[in-house]
Amino acid sequence: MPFLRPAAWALACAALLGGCAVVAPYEREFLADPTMQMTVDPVEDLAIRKLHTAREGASGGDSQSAGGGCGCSN
Amino acid sequence: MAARTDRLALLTLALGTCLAAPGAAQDDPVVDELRFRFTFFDQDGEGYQSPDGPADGPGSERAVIYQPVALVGVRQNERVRHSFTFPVDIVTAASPDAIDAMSRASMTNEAGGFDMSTTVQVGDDDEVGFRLGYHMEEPWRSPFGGLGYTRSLAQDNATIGANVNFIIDVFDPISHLGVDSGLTTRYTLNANLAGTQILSPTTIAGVTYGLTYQFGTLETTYNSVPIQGSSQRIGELFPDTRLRHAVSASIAQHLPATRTTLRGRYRYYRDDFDLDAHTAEVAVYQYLGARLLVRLDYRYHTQSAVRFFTTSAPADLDPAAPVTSDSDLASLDAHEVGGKLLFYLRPPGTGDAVDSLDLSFHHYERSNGLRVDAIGFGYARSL
Repeated sequence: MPFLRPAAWALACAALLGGCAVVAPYEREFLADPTMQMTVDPVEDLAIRKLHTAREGASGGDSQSAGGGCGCSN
Repeated sequence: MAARTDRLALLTLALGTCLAAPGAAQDDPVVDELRFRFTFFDQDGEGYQSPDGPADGPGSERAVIYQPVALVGVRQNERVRHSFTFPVDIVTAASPDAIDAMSRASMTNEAGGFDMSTTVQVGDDDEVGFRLGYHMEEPWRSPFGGLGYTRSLAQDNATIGANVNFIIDVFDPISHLGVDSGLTTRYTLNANLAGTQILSPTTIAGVTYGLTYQFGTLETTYNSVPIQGSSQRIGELFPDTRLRHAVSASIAQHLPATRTTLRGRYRYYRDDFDLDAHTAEVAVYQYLGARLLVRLDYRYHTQSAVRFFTTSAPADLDPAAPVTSDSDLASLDAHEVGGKLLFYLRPPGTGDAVDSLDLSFHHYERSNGLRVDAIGFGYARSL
């Protein structure tokens, strides 16, 4: 089943990343920058996500459903 | 009557969820985030699923879309936060929506919705969330919801999380000939696993895997497929189920010396319609002084066609066989370039609320003849 290989890589990366060094709270000044957030602008992301999901057959991988919810969804 | 029922449903969802949150009657809520955005989409191109053209296709996919969106974040107390999103779409098109191409009764379709999510900090390292919402558009009604859990690890250096979502689409399956055979449904069940990891004081990475299962009426019932050697068209037909996988990895790197942030993301997608896709995105954010932020971004997407895609169906095709000419499901490459200019009315780090205005632009172009230009204007305020 070809989809198992990407899922396995994802889980392996997550496990390996757990071994990284710990960054103390007082060292996270730059990580608090707005441009470093996992979602920088949620409403802009919503608009651009819809541009893609309504015009391509692939979606998901962003903690949201791939498909459903509107007639535009592929 | 349908519009009144929709408004009652939205109000019930909003009130019920707010009342269900812990400590609802005891704390003064604070609006800690406001976002307004207006995006204008200008689309032009062709697709074989569109009847607005020659019988053997492709037809026009010309459309203009206006999309205002509002987001309100409310901090109820130390542990509970709500987020309300109100998206609206106003689509002016003759061809992408075959209902209007058939009847010309209305050249404009409106869609709107309500999406509410609540997060609750249940411990020092644990957070649960739930989500409820409703989407309305001609001819769909789509309630949706979800549950989620996130745990912080290693002094908040890493997080792992999972969420599940469901969507129920209830709609009139209007055919390409304009025949409405009565209400039908489409169900979507989705589960996601996600993790983030701080790699250094200036680097953070994330991984996400999503699994989606859909069943019910999956085709767009008013889409049609040209028939070889004929001026007639047949309706699009999908299998009754669809299993979809998507895995993505992302990374963000800040360069303090130049106040630059580099971001990258890759996604692999595959489903049991045999559609296989790769998507890569890069973005550069650059501060110019204390108040100006510029972003440039590029996205590349490539996909194979679903196994039952065709631009022309044989005349003796089995009526029960899946078939589609939807250009969105064809083999294609897509390039997108974009940019954003953001001006801080009050920049971060001053101790006050952060206010900003921004202007964004995206140009999207597909190899099978579709172009979209999107211009957005936004305002954001956060405490």
